[in-house]
Amino acid sequence: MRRYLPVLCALLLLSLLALAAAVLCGSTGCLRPSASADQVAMLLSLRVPRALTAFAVGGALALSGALMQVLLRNPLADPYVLGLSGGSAAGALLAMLAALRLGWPVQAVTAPGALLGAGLAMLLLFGLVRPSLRHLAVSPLLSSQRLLLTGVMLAAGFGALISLALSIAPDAQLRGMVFWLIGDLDDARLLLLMAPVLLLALLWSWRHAPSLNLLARGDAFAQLLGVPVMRLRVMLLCVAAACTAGAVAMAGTIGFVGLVVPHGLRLLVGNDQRLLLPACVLGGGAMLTLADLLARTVAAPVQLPVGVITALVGVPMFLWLLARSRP
Amino acid sequence: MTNMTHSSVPVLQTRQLAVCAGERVLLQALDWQVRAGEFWCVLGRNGVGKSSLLHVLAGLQAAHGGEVLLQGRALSSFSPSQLALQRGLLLQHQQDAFSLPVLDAVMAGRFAHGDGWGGPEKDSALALSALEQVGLSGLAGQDLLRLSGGERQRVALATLLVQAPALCLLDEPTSHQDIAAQLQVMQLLQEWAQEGRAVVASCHDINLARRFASHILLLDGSTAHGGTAEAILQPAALEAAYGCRFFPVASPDGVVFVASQGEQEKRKV
Repeated sequence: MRRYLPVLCALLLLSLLALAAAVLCGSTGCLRPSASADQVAMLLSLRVPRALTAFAVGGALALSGALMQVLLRNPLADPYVLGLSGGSAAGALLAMLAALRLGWPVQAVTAPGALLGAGLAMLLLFGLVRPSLRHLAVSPLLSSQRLLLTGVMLAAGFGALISLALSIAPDAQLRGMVFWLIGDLDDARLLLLMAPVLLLALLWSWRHAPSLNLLARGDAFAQLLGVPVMRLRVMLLCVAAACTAGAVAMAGTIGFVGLVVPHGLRLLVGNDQRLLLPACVLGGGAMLTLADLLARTVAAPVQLPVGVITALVGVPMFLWLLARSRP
Repeated sequence: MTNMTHSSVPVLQTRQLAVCAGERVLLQALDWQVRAGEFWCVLGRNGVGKSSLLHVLAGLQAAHGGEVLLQGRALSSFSPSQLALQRGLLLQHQQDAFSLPVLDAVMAGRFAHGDGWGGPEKDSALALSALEQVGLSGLAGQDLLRLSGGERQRVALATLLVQAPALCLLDEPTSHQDIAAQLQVMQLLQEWAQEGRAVVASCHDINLARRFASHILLLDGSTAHGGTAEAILQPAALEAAYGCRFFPVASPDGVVFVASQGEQEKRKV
């Protein structure tokens, strides 16, 4: 435990700095000591929820990505690989279309639609992979490959639904829908729901980190050394799915945080889940907070979608990490 | 034969055990006892059910019929962590996707003994001495993924050693080892048995088994012959099990068997 403290403290400091920067700076410039109290209060009331939302979404995505990588025993898995994000995006877009048809406010139905879609996707996934979750596979790679293939197929199906929704949407709505898909952090209403989910997920993962260390090395291996593998796998999938669904419902499908952060931290601090999982929450939160700060300030007063920044920063970063890691 | 009172309960006992691989019945009605201090080698042709038997005995795979008793208790009544304290299995293949230090890989064996957090000093001392016993003490800080197949197999052996179960099951522990290392591994297993554990290892080398094992379980496709090494390793029984001729030849280490296809029909491999 003692050897983890320096890394976690450094990441915690980075997170606090990122949050402070995100609160102090924005599209209207940075707060000055000379600013009036009213101005400060107004800016804080806008920026604090947004910074916290970015942090929670980033932390949830990175944690979910790290858990998926253990579950699928594949360092390149991400939170979206099993189709949960596709499900919630399809749910959100279809809800937007339905709201237009019925004359309801679009903003109000997006998040419930996304949660509903994620829930449906999860039920579908569980229903399809249940037999392979219940047994230990004969071959070590078989069970995770089955799960992965099922998830990728579901994602492809939801991708088609998303394209369908975009193609039949009225032109006036198309822009909002595409922005939602790329991901944006304007809406902080789900923060109070998301924060406890993330906290519970982190506590669960941390408590089971020693078991997850063994699970990462193989189902049979973990079972032989005393891990209740069947139960752990189901819980792991539930926790990762809850994190993904919450993050997507809050901010759309923001890419690359869930892949780059766990992978990068794995190269930096190693594979020990007892350190990696809490580090992912802090690192992911800090990264998305900073990315959102960039999105708000680079082209101010125009706000770029944060998903564009994470991808623009994430792609070269990921390729660099991949190139410097030993083959 | 039933209800015999022994001074000690056998570590492992099977009653009318049947083992299947998919639809294929590999073993039927196996009555077998393994006691502490015994070193059993399981011999037989490819696909005869050696690995499946070990997986059933370890509780990874359900038996098709009959029952397995571990320390006199039904295998199915153990929780995973209780089971990990009583039996360990060296898998034939261990595929690691994530890199980690060899020492951490070995300490995984201590999982059931603690909560996964505490006592790292004691655990790492145990892991270091286990690595020393398998001849890898120089590699403790290395990345597991950079090791050779034979070295990884010995890391798994060290993991089993720190797990310290009463029953050690090993699926071809010598498969990736060079000739000298094969002797060391078998010697190590013999020592484990002499220290009071029960050891069951599947093996392809009849002469290694003859030299180190105290007992042999010979699977010949339909039945299993179990007994002391001298009693089972006879040319006639081996020929029935493997389908080729065996000639005993004198050597400094006692009799060794030389296999020959002879007049027997040539096996298609």
